[in-house]
Amino acid sequence: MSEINLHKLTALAQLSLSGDARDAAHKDLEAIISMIDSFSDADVGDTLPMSHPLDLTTRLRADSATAEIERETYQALAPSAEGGHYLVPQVLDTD
Amino acid sequence: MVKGESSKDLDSALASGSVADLTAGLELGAYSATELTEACLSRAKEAQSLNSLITLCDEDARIAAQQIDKARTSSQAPTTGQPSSLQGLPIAHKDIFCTEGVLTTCGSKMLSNFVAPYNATVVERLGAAGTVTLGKCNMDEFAMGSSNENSFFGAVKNPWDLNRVPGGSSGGSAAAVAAGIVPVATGTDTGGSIRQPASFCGVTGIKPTYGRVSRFGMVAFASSLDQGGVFARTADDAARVLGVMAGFDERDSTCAQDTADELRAVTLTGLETPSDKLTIGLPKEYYANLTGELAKLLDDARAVLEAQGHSVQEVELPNTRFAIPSYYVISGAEASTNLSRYDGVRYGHRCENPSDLNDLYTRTRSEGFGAEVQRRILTGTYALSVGYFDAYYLKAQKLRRLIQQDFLSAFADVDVMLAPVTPGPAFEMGNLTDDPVQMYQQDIFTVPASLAGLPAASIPCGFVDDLPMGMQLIAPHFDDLKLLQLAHQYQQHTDWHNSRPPQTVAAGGKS
Repeated sequence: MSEINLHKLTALAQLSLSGDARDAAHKDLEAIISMIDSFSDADVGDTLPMSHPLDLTTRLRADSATAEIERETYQALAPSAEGGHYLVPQVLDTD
Repeated sequence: MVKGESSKDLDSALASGSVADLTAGLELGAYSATELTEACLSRAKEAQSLNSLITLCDEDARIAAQQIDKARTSSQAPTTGQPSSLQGLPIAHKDIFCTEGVLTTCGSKMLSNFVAPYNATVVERLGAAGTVTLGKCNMDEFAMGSSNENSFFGAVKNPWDLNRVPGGSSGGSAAAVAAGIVPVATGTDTGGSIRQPASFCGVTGIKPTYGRVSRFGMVAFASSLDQGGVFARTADDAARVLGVMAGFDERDSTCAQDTADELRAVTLTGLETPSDKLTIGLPKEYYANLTGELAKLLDDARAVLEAQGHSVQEVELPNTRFAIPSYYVISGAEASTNLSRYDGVRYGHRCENPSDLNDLYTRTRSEGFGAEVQRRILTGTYALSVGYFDAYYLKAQKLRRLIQQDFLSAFADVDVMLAPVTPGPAFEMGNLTDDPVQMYQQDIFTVPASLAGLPAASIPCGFVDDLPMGMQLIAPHFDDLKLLQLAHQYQQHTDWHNSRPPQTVAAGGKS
């Protein structure tokens, strides 16, 4: 098992852990990856990877507009929305 | 049952009546949908301490029941006593299914304020068939767990022993059916989340073939594994409900092009027993370390099936030992991708006063997700990281195919497989919470069929230490009906499915 770089993983996963939670997560993750590594001796040869149990490919729907729910319905669920826009902290400097 | 019977008799019908009995009683006018709904609501309040329901839709349920009664009263159609549909049948939905205008939390703080703007296809179809939604069932957060101890809304208690877990992740659904709150409930199964709680709570639970039940409106955990299904007291009850849920849905791009006609027919007619004598496979890897009472229960079950003329033979599934590690890579990878949508922008929890966009994302997700969900996301992120992808994700996908090929090879010789569901009965709360790897091993007998996309069910088959146990039946793809017919035949010759938890315990009165 390669060393677990929890700092990098949490950054990729957009999570933040500190103190005891960080230590516990590191210990648990080591145990989980060690358990997963038990398949390292499996001989898979040239087996094709399986992404769908029925080997179906993603079906495309007809290319036609289906406006079933209005934007307002969805945006009413947003923590912060105004004038048809989702509001988030400022991203670009104003200078 | 005759019209005008007492509420005590109605309670009894609710506690033990089958779907066919209950819908026939409604059809004959022995009781109204409103009376049945009130009996369920009353039962739900008595058993509140189980924590099996986290949202009670009492007012909406009363309105729906009244509308059904009104339509029935105004109908000129003769009452035959034969169930024409599921009109008036109370049901509870796992809180993973979107229900329009009703909280859909997925057991998470992240969605604790989320009121779904539309119905899941499962909810829509069951509603159209006349079921009355009593409420939403508690569950492990985002369906990740084997004990229902991972819910933001608190753990669910097992109606058979309040100190024990009901299993997970659909523990609330299993406990609600076992406690007699509702005759049927929906659930989902990604790696065993219907079968394991069904076994722990002594009810019947089926995970259909992957792709038979639409995932539209079902909050995603691991999309190539997630499958909706049913909890009920009997295989016949489960089949009648599954017949309404199953079938192609154009809104789910992973759904099979399958009309499920044979399942739909069962909703009206009920199950028959298998028309042929079947060959039942016993996967030797599942039985290798089985001892004691569980081994005896499975022996007894096998004898019951043999007495009906079926034969058994040993089969081999040599890649079984790779199922748990493969499952936790694939499900973790899919979870880390699916759950990236929870960013505090469009819906759900949002942290207070974020300093910048990255702070918004990071604090929202760290506050909104519980420890187990974070573990799974981190596991998936690790497996998908640059440099590890081939060694973990790709390898797990290849092993998944080998595991499926094992099943397909074995099904060339047998029709159905008989196996354990769990290594033992329901364990005590808190026993495994500090050891995630040990908790993951609870899924050892259920994960392989999930990876292969096969239909599988847990059927009550006896007791160990006074706690119910289930046996697992696994069938080839799209042989859900055959599986249910065999389970139905077994239940006609056994009585385990009629066992009920002590009412005082089921109501949370004592442990």
